Amino acid sequence: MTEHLPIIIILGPLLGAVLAAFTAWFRPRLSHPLVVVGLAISFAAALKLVFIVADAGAQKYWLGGWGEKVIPGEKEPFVVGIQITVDYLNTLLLVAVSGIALLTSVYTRRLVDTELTGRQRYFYALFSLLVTGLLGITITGDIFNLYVFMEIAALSSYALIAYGRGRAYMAAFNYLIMGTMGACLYLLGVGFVFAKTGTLNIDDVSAIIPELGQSQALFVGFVLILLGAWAKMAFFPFHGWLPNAYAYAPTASTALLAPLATKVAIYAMLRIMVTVYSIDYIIHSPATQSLVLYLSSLAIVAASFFSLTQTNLKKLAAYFVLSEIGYMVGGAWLANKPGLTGAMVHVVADAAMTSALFMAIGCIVYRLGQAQLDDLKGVFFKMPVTMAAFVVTMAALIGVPPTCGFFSKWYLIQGAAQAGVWHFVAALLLSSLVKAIILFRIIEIGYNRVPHPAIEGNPAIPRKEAPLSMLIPTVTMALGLIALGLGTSTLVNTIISKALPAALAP
Amino acid sequence: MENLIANFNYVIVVILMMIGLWSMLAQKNLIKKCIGMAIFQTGIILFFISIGAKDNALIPILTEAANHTYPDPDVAKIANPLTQILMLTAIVVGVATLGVGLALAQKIYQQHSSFDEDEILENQRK
Amino acid sequence: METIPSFTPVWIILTSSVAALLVALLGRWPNVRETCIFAAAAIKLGLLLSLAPAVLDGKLYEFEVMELLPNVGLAFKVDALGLLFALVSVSLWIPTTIFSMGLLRPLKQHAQTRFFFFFAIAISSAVGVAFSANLLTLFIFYEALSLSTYPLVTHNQDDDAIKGGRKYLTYLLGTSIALALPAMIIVYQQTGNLDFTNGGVFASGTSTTLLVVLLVMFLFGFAKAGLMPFHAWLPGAMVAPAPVSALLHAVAVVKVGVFSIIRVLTGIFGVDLLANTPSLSTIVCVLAGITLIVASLIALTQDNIKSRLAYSTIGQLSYIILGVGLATKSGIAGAALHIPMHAFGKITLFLCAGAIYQACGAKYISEIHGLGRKFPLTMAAFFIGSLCVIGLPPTGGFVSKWYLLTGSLDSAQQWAFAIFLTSSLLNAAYFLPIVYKAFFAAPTDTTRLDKAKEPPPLTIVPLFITSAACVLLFFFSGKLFQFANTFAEMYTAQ
Repeated sequence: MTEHLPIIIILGPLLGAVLAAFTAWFRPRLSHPLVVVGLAISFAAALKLVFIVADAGAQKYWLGGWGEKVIPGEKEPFVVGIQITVDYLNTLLLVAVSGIALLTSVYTRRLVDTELTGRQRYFYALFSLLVTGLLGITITGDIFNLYVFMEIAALSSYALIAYGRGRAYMAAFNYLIMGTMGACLYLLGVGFVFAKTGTLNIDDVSAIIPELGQSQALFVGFVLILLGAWAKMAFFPFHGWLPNAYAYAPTASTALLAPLATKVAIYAMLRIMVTVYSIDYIIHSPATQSLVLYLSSLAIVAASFFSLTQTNLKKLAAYFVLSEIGYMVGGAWLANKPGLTGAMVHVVADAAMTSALFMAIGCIVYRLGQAQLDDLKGVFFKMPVTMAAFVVTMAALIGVPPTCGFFSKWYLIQGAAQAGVWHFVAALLLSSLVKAIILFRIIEIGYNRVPHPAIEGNPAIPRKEAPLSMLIPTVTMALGLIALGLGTSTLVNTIISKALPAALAP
Repeated sequence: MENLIANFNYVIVVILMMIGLWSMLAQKNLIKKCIGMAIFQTGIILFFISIGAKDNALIPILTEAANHTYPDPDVAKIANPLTQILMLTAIVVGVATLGVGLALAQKIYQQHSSFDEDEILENQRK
Repeated sequence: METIPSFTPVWIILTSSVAALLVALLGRWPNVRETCIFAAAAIKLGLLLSLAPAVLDGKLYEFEVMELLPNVGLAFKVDALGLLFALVSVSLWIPTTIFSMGLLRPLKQHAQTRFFFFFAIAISSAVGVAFSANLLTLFIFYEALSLSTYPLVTHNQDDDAIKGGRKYLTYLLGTSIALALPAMIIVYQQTGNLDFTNGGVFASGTSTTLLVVLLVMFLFGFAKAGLMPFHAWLPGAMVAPAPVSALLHAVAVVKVGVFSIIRVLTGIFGVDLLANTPSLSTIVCVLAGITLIVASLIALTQDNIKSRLAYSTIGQLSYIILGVGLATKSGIAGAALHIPMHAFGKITLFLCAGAIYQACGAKYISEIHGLGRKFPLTMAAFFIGSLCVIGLPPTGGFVSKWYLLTGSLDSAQQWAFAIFLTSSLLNAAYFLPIVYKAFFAAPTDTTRLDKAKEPPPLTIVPLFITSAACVLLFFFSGKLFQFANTFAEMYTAQ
């Protein structure tokens, strides 16, 4: 059984999606439980695999048993099938994606009923399909297979966003155009790599590329793949679609999309950078490196400043996501041990933080009906538990110890200090301060500017907390941020440090 | 010049991609964007197929011999099947994306009675 | 240096955290709530005193909770300085709580549970800082203190409180995130280690420019120490209720800032490095000296009693920083000794200010003319407190200032001697007139004076406890000096 665990991770949500789409026809109430079961199976498999990988190293699996074929006369076996790998780089992300998807599927039930009344039939099928795509991107060991899963995820996300109606249609359309452009550029890059190396299997490509030396085609392929990944992760300057898409989509969709979609795209970039092309490639192109680092700092600073002017909570959170993306891309392109460690830790940490953030926002939207900042008066009294979780999440985003945000920021700053890239350090610190300003602005509006209900003569503010099915995932996620922070050291030592390429500068 | 002619497939691919890209990004009409997207994807598909093509190549389908076996084909004479299969997948993805794009465009039209991006944005601001 | 592994430091920190939880749960029964606090304070004090003998002997208690980053973890180490600071904070928690009860209860103040809850958390954080074994742990508790004191500063929740709170956080969070955090990371990246070690962590031959930059980043990054120009949060935080100003801004918060700087200067840079690199010690002494004099001068111009006390605090903190910057044994010992001496003196002054406000609503010095005749005991306590801060016998402040003066003569910065003396004169100039006017000047506002009623006993008793302590400290200064000396010896020995 355990040798099939990798494929079970994908099969769970995939079958869940198909069955949910099927039953949505005649018995829509069944779709949600089916999806939850599928995601639970996937999460359990991913969790088990973490321990297996920590013990035994990378696990490779050939889909359908189509593996390698030995050709008489050739010394190397010839790759015939599609491989999926669970190794040190993606095992944590698999757990994060499946875990967050599981929690979100439980969490979104109430939201879907209120926001999408009458149209919920196929929502969970699309939900599960999106998760399949994301898990597929993370687990695959074949660069074309990555494109396929990328498009599965993309198409589901266009539909999930379009559920929002009104402005969401235009937002989804823009996302479609940008996303397809990105995917096509990625495909073109894969074409270049395939033309030069003759194989699509990641392990094989990474073995062949060093032998090819300085190749113009390989460089162009690399750039195209990179541009494609950047469009998918909304890295500056391809970020235009994200704020609108996440703000106008129904909160249920954003709760799933925001934490996961961009992080998986960043993982794809990491995989290409670290495994396929090997980090030496990056180190030997310093001009590209400094360009990307400048773009990252710019992304962080611009997103932070835009977030200051936002009055809508969801758009605010979308800009936070944009700035976090800058962290990860910059950290990866620092190309030294602490920088890469920081990027990898941050991928998991940010997925958790964004998930907790959007869950808290979803609770507020559910109870208050809208998400404008100025209308949050007294929310600390109406929804104390939700706001407590919100404060913890914002503390994590700011980088207050002992939450996970502090430790990933530590590694990133350490890496930047080591590489002497001071503008990146300044950008990181600036975004922390901006987030602190926003948190305290929200505390002022939600707590301080209301006449305190405990003082006699002031109007009482009734407690209207979010329902338990939404509250428990939110609080779990928020507590998870602290647990993740305290456990960062263990994670880095057992898994992440082994994912770093051996030839990296310390 | 000879280089360009010898690599005419790449030239055509690049031209197609540029037309598609320009359409996708610079055109205001939503349908033209979708068409541009389709052209862009077609360009890439042609690229893949052209790199797998050979002069006087045979179709990559095994033919049954008289004694109901499939003899090993002469690989050098057959067009690369892998690129063709990959592109089958890509074509399907392209069609699906086009479908979703057109459906979204239809919904937008129902709302704003226009396919023009500028008019739609103005409409939304009201 | 012998080390004793022990879980006691963690127990001590946990005691007040558990008390905080109990306060939150039992908020509806005020007397039970307050009993929890007193019980916790008593237990803490007992545990702290149990650690004293070994620590005075030169031994250290250590405990590592968990590793957080390669080679750096959440770790605690109790040495003489940490124990001294913790003793001061916890022992002053008790009179402050009594005072808070006296102040908040008659006014039926809202959110008393919230007040006592965050107070207890703040005390835990302060003790956490005191027991930190490395910079990371210190930073964690430093931030916890900033965040847990925000609700206390903005307790009154009116416009002034919100503005004051905003300023408070901007200065404290801004400097710690923008300056202290990167400095800490750079130290880690350079040396791979953040433990407070005798002799510092830097390898010999580290570039002086880097050291200077890091030094400045740390000095301004720990803005709780009130070095100018990042001192403005202190007067701004005076919107807090009196007990908050008293304990936190005379004792816990500001002393945490100064404590962090002492730890950085002695444990990260190392006394030797400071003594042998003139640029480093000059920078510390000059920055502290400027703050000293300027703060004292500004204090002279302040009519609001609490503002005057706030600027006085800023000046007194720089005494401590200057003392450490001198990089001599008696300078460091004097600085360490000034922590408790100033704490007791200042808290007396703030509690008096609070009592005066409660009695007759007077906030300004011009309003308290002649008040001494109505409330002689309160003003007498104020007089004793000011003597302690000025540094005159028979109060404890005299002893610490003595050691600071001796330290300056031993060091390379002999001009510090003049600075200390000038500043003490300025201290007298801004404190003694208050006492004089209160006792001997004709009242300017007789209606206010007539309406003034005696503050409740809960408010007066703590005043007497702390002012008596100021005098007692003079006579028992030897015991306290033992702490200071043990610390100074440990960190200046090679």
